[in-house]
Amino acid sequence: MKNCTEFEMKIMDAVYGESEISEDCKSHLATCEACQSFYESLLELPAGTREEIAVDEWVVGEAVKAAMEITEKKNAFERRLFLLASLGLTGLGFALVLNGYVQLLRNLYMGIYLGGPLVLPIIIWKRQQRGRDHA
Amino acid sequence: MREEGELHEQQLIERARRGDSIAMSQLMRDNYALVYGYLLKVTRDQETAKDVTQEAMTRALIAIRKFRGESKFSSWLIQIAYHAYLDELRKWNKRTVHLEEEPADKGLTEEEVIRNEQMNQIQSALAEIPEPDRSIFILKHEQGYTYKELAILFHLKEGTIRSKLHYTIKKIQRKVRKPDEELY
Ligand SMILES: [Zn+2]
Repeated sequence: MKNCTEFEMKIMDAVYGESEISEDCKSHLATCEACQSFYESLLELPAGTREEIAVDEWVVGEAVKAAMEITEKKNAFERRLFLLASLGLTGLGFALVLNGYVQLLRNLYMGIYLGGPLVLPIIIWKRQQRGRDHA
Repeated sequence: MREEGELHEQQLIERARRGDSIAMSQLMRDNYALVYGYLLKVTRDQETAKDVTQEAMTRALIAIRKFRGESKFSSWLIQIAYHAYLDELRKWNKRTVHLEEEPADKGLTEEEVIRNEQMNQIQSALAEIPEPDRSIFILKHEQGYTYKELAILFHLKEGTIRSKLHYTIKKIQRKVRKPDEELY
């Protein structure tokens, strides 16, 4: 024998259009005053006034402005970081050549060229994982 | 028409991703009623709801490149609005909640007065319900979100959404007087 809570949940599903009301639920509803009261009360629960909401142009405008400013700042920071990293790496290359570490520099480049593609599947897998988490 | 609307929205998202401010504005205008309507229900304060709407829209536009279209854009936006609202709640936890002044019952029919009274009872019952239960009820009862959409939105199982909703309904039902019940 199912208890009323279970029937109430089924009634709720039906009222919200999640599923059809089952036969056993219908026959329980016909005999149980508590569940009848739950059903009627849920149907009568007002859903609030659906008045037209006017768009506040100021709110939208400020949001767009702020988003563009923050994005621009972020992009500028990333550009500077990229430039610095590039300069640093080039400088390091020159320093190694000037100090006679040509062999080390060659090995470093070989490592990057050969190792880089091996990291690619890991990056792709990580991105897919993150996509699934967001879904 | 719905497909056309979705296509239009998809185009706006694409353009907004590329930094087109006109597309950004249009996208936010199209979703303003949804976001503000939801936030007004949970905050019960017009000014707070507008502040949080602005914050949520800013966050959404910054993160729009991360939107992959796995859920509806409106659901994604509501999720951001919910988190912006939670942050606001944390910030103003100790603050006394300023409730919206209820409109006077002058000039209303008896039916409208009862309905207003019921709405107030629901609002005060909802004020006692913690998050995310309150938002789950509002989004289900007022905006017609499905269990599946709510489960994605709040990172909960559909079964949990159902029991939380049932619990909230029971709590509200205890508070709301039926129109034919006499006050005593
Ligand atoms: Zn029952």
